[in-house]
Amino acid sequence: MKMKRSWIMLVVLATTLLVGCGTQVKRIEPDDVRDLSGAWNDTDSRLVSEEMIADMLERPWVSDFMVDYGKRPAVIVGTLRNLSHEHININTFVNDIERAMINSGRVDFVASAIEREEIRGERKDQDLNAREDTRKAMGQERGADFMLKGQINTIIDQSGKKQVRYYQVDLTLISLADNRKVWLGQKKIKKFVKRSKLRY
Amino acid sequence: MRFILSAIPWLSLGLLLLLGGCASYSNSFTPIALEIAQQNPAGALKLLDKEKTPERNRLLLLMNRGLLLRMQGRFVASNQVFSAAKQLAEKLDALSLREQTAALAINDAMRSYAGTPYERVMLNLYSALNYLDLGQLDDARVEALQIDLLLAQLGDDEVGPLFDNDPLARYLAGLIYESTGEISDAMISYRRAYQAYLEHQNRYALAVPRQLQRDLLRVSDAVGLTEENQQYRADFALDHWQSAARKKEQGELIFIFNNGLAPIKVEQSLTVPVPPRGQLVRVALPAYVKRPGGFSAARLEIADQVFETEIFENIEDLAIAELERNQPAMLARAIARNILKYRVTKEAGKKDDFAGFLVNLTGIFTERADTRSWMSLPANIQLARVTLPPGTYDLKVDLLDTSGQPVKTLDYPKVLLTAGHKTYLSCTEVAPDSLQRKN
Repeated sequence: MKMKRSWIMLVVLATTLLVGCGTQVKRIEPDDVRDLSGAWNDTDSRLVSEEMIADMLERPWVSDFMVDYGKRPAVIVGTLRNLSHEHININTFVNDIERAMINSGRVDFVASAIEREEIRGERKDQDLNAREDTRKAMGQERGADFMLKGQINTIIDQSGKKQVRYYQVDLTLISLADNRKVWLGQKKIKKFVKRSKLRY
Repeated sequence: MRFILSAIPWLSLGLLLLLGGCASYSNSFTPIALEIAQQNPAGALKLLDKEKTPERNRLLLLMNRGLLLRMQGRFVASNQVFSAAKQLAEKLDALSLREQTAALAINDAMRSYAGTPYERVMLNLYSALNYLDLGQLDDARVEALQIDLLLAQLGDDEVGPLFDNDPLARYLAGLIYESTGEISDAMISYRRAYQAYLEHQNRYALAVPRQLQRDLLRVSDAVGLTEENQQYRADFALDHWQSAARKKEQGELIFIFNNGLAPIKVEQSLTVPVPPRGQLVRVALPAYVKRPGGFSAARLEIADQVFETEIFENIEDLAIAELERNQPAMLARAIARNILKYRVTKEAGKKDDFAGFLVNLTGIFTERADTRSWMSLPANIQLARVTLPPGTYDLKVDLLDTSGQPVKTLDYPKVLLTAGHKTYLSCTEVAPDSLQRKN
């Protein structure tokens, strides 16, 4: 009987030691919500950009502009500042915003300063090398009518292993012609994170 | 149960063979320290990567890697490593019962190294410096916020405060807020830094830097805290400072001098026979050894003016205080471990004297002190801020020995200072005589 018990103990010990070996990969859909650490993640980036841009495009400034000028407003993304507690990848957030805006079909979207440099280089190259009928002329760029600026802020409250993370994303759309702010958007996310006291 | 008992002597023999040849962790670092002293961080990194690091020492590997990459000026790579280190340290915050059992059965070094509180702060501090070197002010600001969060967390642990305050981390946060134009946040951080220096003044004989006094005067004036400003003027016996408005038109050089290397832990042990059967009992605990000598300060010569760095953070003292704080818990674990080892030896000795002797020997050999620490850190961090009209300057830095004599000169030609901006320069220097060990 004693012998048997010691064998069981050994088996249990061996299993606990072996558990956790090997890498496991499981494919998941990009819109699956998986919160691991409580930090800002892809889901936050996507949800915030989609909801905020949907709100922005519903507001009267779009139709006002159409009535006044008879064309869709052109928008450019300016600086988005990360003033939070985390190193957030602002680029994916900006890309999410651009995608949501372009796909809405209600506004035109102008390439950013860095992208423009590259395109101008290509145009210069076309000037030399491309056939006349396919050549694109310089000085024909569409100037933006509005600039989108914003910031991500956080407030963190913590005690022991518990933490409440509060994110606030503010976006402002400013008219380039006269500095008017035509739209202010705000989106808040609150998360409660409880870290484990034990690990393997 | 009998089966397990009879296996113990053989298991012991195996363990003895496995662990017998292990040198303590701090010994293995000596060649790396030598490379750092010879201004060859790339060589040091090569040595570090060649070493086989067990999973439980992974955090140490990351901390050393990050700092060595920074010394090479590879700031982006350094920050990637520091970021991984921060995540790992946070994960290791949770208690592992498996490792605790191993620590009780074998020794403390069997646990994963989770970093001491001051080392955790240093991770953020050096990340922030990397971002400042890269000119990514908003990212440096993220680090400043994280420092705030971490210090709050360490000061409010369930078992009581783990760490009092970190003066340089607070000061750096102030510097970052001042750079981003958030003047009231800068005021709060400088004030906290001042508090921290006052606390450390009594405990570690670290003076309030003269530079911080000038910063407090300038910023309190800019924010409009007239009463506080007057109080500082009286306390510091300082009447002149550059106004924030005037400073904006000037360029600023911030020189950071990482002086020497942090102290190393050595093993101190005691082995005594216990009557009646003469079983050996051993207690091994780590103790810090300071590295002697070294430089006292750096003297900057720029635009016919002379400035001297001041000590902003004394890592040496922080490390020693940290170990003292942990001493009672380490001793308690060592006693518990010895009782356990004593009992097992006694059981094994009942059956067979030789088996008992073997188990006892293993118990003695495996009783090793945990000598792990972040050893590539400097002994202290010194800093000087120099405000000059915008332009290009040749900077000469003399490293002074303890008697104030220059022993080494560094040249930084064509340092560019632009109006309203801060230019960061840093160096790590280890005086040759500080590598020798002295007890």
